[in-house]
Amino acid sequence: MDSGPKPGHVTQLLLAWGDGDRSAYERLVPLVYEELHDMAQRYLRRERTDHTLQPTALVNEAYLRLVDQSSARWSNRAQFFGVAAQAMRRILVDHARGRSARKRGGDAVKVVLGEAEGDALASDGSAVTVPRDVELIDLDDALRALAALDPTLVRVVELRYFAGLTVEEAAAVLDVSPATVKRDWVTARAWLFQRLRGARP
Amino acid sequence: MSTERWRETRSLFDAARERRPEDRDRFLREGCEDEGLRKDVSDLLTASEEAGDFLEEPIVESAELFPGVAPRRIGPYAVVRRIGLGGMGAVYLAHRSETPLSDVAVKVIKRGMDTELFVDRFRHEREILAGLDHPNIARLVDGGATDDGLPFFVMEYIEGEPIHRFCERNELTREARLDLFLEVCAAVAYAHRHLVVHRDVKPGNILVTRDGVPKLLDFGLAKVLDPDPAAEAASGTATGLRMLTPDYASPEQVRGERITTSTDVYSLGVLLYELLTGRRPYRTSHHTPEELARVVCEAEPERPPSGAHVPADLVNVLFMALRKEPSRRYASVDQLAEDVRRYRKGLPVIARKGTFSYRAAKFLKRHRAGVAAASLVVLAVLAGLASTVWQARKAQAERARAERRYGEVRRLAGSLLFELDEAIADLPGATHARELLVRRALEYLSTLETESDGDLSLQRELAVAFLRVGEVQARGFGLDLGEISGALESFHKAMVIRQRLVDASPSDLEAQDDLAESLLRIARVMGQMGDATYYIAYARQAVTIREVLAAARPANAAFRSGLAAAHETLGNALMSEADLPGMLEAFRKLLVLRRELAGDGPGAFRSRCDLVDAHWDLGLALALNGDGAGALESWRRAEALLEELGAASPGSERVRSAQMRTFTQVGGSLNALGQRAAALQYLRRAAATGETLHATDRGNAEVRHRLAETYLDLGTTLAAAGAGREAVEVLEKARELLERWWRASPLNVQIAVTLAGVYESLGQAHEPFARPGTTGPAGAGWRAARSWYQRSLDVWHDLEARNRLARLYRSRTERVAEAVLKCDAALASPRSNRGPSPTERELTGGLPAG
Repeated sequence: MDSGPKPGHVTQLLLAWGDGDRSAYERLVPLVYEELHDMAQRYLRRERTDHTLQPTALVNEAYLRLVDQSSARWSNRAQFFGVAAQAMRRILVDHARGRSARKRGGDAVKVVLGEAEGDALASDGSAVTVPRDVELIDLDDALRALAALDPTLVRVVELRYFAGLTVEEAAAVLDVSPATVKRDWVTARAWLFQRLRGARP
Repeated sequence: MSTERWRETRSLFDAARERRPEDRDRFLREGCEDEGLRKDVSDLLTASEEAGDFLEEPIVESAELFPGVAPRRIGPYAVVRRIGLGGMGAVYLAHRSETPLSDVAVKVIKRGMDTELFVDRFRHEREILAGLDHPNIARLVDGGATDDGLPFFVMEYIEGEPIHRFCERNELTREARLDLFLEVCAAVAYAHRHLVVHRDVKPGNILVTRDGVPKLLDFGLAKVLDPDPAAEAASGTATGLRMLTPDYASPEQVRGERITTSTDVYSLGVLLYELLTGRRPYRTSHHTPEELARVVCEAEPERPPSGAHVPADLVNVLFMALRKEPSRRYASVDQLAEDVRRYRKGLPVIARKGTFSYRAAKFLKRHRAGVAAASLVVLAVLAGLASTVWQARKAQAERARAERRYGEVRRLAGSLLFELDEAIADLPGATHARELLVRRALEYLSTLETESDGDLSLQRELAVAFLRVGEVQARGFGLDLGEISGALESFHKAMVIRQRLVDASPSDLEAQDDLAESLLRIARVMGQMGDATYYIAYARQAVTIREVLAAARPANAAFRSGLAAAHETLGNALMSEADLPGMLEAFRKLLVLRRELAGDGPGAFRSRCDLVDAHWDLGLALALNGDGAGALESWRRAEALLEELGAASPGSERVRSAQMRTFTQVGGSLNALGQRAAALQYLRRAAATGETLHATDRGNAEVRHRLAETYLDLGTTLAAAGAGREAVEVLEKARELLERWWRASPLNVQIAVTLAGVYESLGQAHEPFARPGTTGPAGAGWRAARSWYQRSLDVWHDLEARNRLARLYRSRTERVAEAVLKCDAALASPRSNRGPSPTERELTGGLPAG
């Protein structure tokens, strides 16, 4: 029943990757994807009134399941979250595309972007419209476009938004300073906001 | 847009954002001639401002729209607003509907986070909090589940600000900051006593209320320590739910190693550093977190900038708390706090002296040859031991020979440490050499231990060796600093190994006896440190084991002697908790056993010395239980036996040491019975005996302490007899033996107790009526007496503050406090200013009579 990858295996791959073995990375990515995918399916299928799913929780839980804590290093943790964030984005987007294809035109399930409490406030204090219910697919398209310009910004968005990492954690994954992440994050959000707002009717 | 163009846009965007919003337009106009580019940048700036918290919360996917607004109610609580959002849950300010004025904080697990794993963790935090009740820890009030079945718990609402901001905003003095820090330490130490390690001590988790009370929050990462090391190892070290930022994390946390209470000691060190200097111990601004993690594990903390004016002693305290190796930090939060308090009192701190490399380097410079020789011998022996074991495994043909050598080497290693220790004891700097010896020995033993898997006979030897090293460490206790925790650690290692051996072969009675020995050794250290609970618990466990052994092998004298020793330790332990009937019972059992064991055969000398001790112990128990006559009878028996033994073995140290103690007690008894002259005679003999012993063996802590006790009894008796001047002379000798020792070993409670007694008696000896021959105003006598009483009181209060005041001594604090009041009264009233003694009034008669 439980045929998931053993903690030791993923840890070995992380260690090998950390030592410069590129093929380890290529073997690692599908493993993480599959594990996260299975977990997401399980949680979404549960019989509950609110089928909620917090990707952050999944990524953290996957880490605990897949990585042997006693032999992993600080840097392995960072690597893992980097891979998992990308996998999470793909899983969620695939899920959304699949559903919208199935339910074509019906009451398409929306992905909520954010947990905003009422309208957000602009820096001058006035209320602004936030594209709160933009579909995840639009966001994914925007990210593809952004990747062509500035792939680093996309990585930051994946880490912050899809894996729920803090600025400091994302900085650890990317091995840059938190100040750099903060700058990238502001730029990425501004760019995406501008594009998605423009894309709306 | 081309990537080239994007790069320009970005760099202008970043540069503009560094300016104030009102300056940005001008900056763009002046800095960029390309109008299209300028528009792109300014559009992006506008978007950035309008984006609000777009994407700020991580994605949540929901089958229905997830409203995400704060709930109106959680269980019976009405929510006011959200005050915090963590990885796992949110915290809301709320109040019970019927009592809108009493605010509480409700922590509820985030929707979508309620997977089994997180719910377990959440419950775990709540259970931890339920077990903690301390004024500096946010209290758990209630708990339950929401209508949707999400678990929540309710805490006292702390309205305050993080401790570092509180200190800055109020511009607190260093002293005030230290006070706050000590309160935080008290909270963390309290949690440790309840086997909880916080693991996330940082300013953001310590809020200071308006009344200036710091409160420790957020036990979300906390962990319950398992007293069983094996289970501890099995439970793993997972901390991974949150990627800790390394700013406050210890090296072992960054490396994912085992977490102990030392982890909190480290984080408290970072906190104190920040409170004192306004910055963290490592320069972080130009480091990525990855580098910072490396720095935390490898680099030395920076010395506080000179502008922060941190005194050298406090720097030492910081650096000791921030050591990379958990075992070289303060052994406990209490110790760290103790050192801070010592700094505040102007006493030398432990921290500087504990710096092994510093001391070893200094010592090596002075005694290069001697140390080199001594440590080389130890190295050779220990290395020989290791290689012999290796040979025994590898070369089967030579097995027998190798085993023989193994035995030889073992004997050598067993006694060598002691012999070397004695040989260097009188050298200047012996302490450093001993430390070096111990350190090397421990290194080798630890290496051997990792290789000893499955080799039971080697493990047995290792346990003995750890005990021996512990003895060397403990022997220096009082002369060395901080060594007692090292000794405790060694004894503990021995115990763990022996427990393993018992588990491996439960029918091996010798192994059980060995285990009991280790337990007793730890019990006695606990006694010295004033930890009565563990003192009794360990002793009782040893008694239980040995009672079974003695019953199983009634003819085995060694088992019965062992049982006697266990009763003796238990009796002493019960005394410290003032369980006097229990003490009496233990010592009666002790005497019965010792009587049976004392014989005429080989080993008779030792067994009869043991019998003397048993009589002595019983005497003490009888005296404390109010049977003065019975006590004197017991001590007289001890005295008579000692006379026989002394005649048979003149010059025996053990006999003389027992004589010193017995004379002291007989003298004390006679004094209580009103036979003052005979009492003084005994006490003087005791002092003379002790002085000889002390002169021949100055490094012997036990003799030193006993001699000081004898001086104390003699001085007290003299003061009561009105011979204040001689009393002061004797008591000053006791003070000289104890005072410096006490400063060096603040953890040794027994020294503190005796010293408090010496101060008290000095107070009595200075009271005017104790000094009939004195001329001059009586007020001076009262003032001097008062200052000695005050010093005694300070020692008692210090013990009390550290929770180290055994129940037996509690009444003495009050007695001394009353003496202080008596002095104040005498000084305040002109009539009694001159003291109550008519003798004195006559002798100083020239003065007006009030």
